[in-house]
Amino acid sequence: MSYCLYCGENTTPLTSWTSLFLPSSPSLCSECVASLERITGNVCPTCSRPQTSATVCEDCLRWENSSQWSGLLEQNYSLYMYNEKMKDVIARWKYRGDAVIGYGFHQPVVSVYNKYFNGYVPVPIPLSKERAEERGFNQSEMLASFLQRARPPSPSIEHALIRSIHEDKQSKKSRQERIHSVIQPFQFNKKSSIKGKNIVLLDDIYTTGTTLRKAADILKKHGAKKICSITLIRG
Amino acid sequence: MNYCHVRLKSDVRCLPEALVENDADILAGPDVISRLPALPTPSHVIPSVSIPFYDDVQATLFGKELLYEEMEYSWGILKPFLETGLITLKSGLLPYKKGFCCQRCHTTSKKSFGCFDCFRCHKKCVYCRHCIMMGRISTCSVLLRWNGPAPKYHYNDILLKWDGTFSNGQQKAASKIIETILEQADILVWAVCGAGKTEILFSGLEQALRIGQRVLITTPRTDVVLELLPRLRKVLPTTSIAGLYGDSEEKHNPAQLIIATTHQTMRFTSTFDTVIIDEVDAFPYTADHSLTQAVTKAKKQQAATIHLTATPTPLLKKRVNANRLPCVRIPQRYHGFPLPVPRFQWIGSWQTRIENRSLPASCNKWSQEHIEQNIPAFLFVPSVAVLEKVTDLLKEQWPAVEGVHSGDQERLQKVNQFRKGSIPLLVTTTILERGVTIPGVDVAVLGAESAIFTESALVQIAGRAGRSKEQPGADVVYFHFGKTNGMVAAKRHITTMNRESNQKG
Repeated sequence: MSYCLYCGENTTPLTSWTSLFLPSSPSLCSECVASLERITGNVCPTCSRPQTSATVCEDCLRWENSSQWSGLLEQNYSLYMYNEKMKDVIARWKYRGDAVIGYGFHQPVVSVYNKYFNGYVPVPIPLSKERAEERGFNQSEMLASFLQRARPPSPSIEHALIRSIHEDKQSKKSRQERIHSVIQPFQFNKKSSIKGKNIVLLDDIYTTGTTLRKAADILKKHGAKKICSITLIRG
Repeated sequence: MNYCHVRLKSDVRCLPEALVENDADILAGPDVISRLPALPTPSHVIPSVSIPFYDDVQATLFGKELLYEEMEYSWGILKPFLETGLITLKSGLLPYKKGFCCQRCHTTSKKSFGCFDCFRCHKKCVYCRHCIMMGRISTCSVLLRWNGPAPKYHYNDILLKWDGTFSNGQQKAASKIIETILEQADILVWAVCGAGKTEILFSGLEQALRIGQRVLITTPRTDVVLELLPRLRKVLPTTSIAGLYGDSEEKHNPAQLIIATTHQTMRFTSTFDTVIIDEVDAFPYTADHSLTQAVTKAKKQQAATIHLTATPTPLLKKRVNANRLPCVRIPQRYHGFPLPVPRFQWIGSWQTRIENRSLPASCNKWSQEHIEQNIPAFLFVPSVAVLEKVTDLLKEQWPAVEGVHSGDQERLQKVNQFRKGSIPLLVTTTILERGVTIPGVDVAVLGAESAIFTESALVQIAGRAGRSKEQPGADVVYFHFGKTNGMVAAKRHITTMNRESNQKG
């Protein structure tokens, strides 16, 4: 017997060859999974925004037309919509600190990685020291750690970024504030080596894409080849 | 953050590493708090010198155990409190048998604990998922406890502003309650739905507050807290009262009278002289062992406990029958009329009918009659899934019909609309079985044989009907597909109470 990571109800997983021979990893129940909305259908090929046609969306065009930001982030892949249920799940996972809920996303994240970014070096978006102390864990780091345990395992995680500046929470800012904030919160971690490598950034949510592009900017300057990202949610 | 045991003069104190002086006499640590041995808690520490922020810290922490993260004070400010023993530290989680025991919610069940790589202690850290909504408590978190004196309450001028009258049953129960409070004993007040349970508490509350007692009224349901709060503020205008529930903003108010959901009592520790548990048999209080423990932890060793309900659990009844729990019964409603007795109506396999998108004929007729004659009606159903289907079917015929369940964001609005009459018939799950009073309402249960409709649920549901003096009679019907023991017991419960009230009256 296993229990749903979110609602605590019993789940009786289907018996399959995998479940017979491998210990089952904790997961979400089918009802909770069903109320999370996977992104399907037409999306913007650059940022995964759901839309009617599969062309690059206006926001991404604006990014690419700016000399400062163009060409930094090749592609972002988001798995879920930010619906009410997801808001609750994230609130409990990230803000209340119920870390194990993250394991519910193990399988989906790994399969996206294997399908689209196989062989890329995972780089989690770091938290500032203050925020890490407050939260006790880093959700992006957790997502990255899943890739290490995938079969076949990804190249080892590079902690290529350091968040030296403690900003206000992104989620407390308006869209304009986020896009026009000039502060570069990240620094390059000199102990890591990313030269000539393909990078996949990991974060929980893509809202305006500012954070990811700022991170990509640093990595590009230190010789990264191609930079993509996997985010759990397209906000 | 790591912690140390340090000898200060004649006492051993537990301090965070950051506060330990270089030349201190360290007896244990620095280590994660859960690995340090427990220290005895000093009692009745009186501060000898004045400490900055004394009153504020006392108000926040008195009678509680809080996480450091819940305090608004830095370790620097807390230092003199820790050194004098006014505040002591203890581990949030402790090893228990082969697992852990949460020191806040007392959960020990294995599935309630999670494990993660903790940035604070840089180790694998175990945390309690059961009470995560109150802030994460892990093997490296500390709980702070207040050992100093209580804040001063102004209880000399406690005033009871209530001039209602009691029925005979209420009078008897009220004086029993006063007795119990003075003797610090236990009692079960078994009062039928609509007996006026809240009023009988008033004189007991006044008495307790006047002699300086700290009182807790707790109930499993937030709705009940929200209903009690304004009523008690009105009748006890000079008392300091705080209401605690999920979104409450009074969490740091050290009031003399606390009205809280049973979940919120988890933060308290040995502070109440009188505890009143309203709707003691309601979900989830009886289903969740940690809540019972939380209430026990919140009261002092010597304290009065008053259990209040219309439908005591078998366990409570057993204690009463074995003479281990005194009991006072109020079999009569406040207005003196008998409880409406439910009738049974067989409707066959209603589930199949609903699957085929039609309602059982007699149930549909009942709904129709009520809507056409403008009689407000509750239709109780066993589950959210059934609720949605039945609401849809009724809405096809009468679009004004609505359904509510526990996850419904508009629950309060819908109940208010129902009260005002703009919703003629409200389909509901057991969420509305208690605490709602709608004058002149009739009640039906669809699928009364379902396991969720226990004796107590059915008695409570029947208790929604006929509560006003003007319309004491009402129709209560259980639509079923086979009589169950629960249904029969519920009917017997109601007729017994009526008979008893006749004999007494």
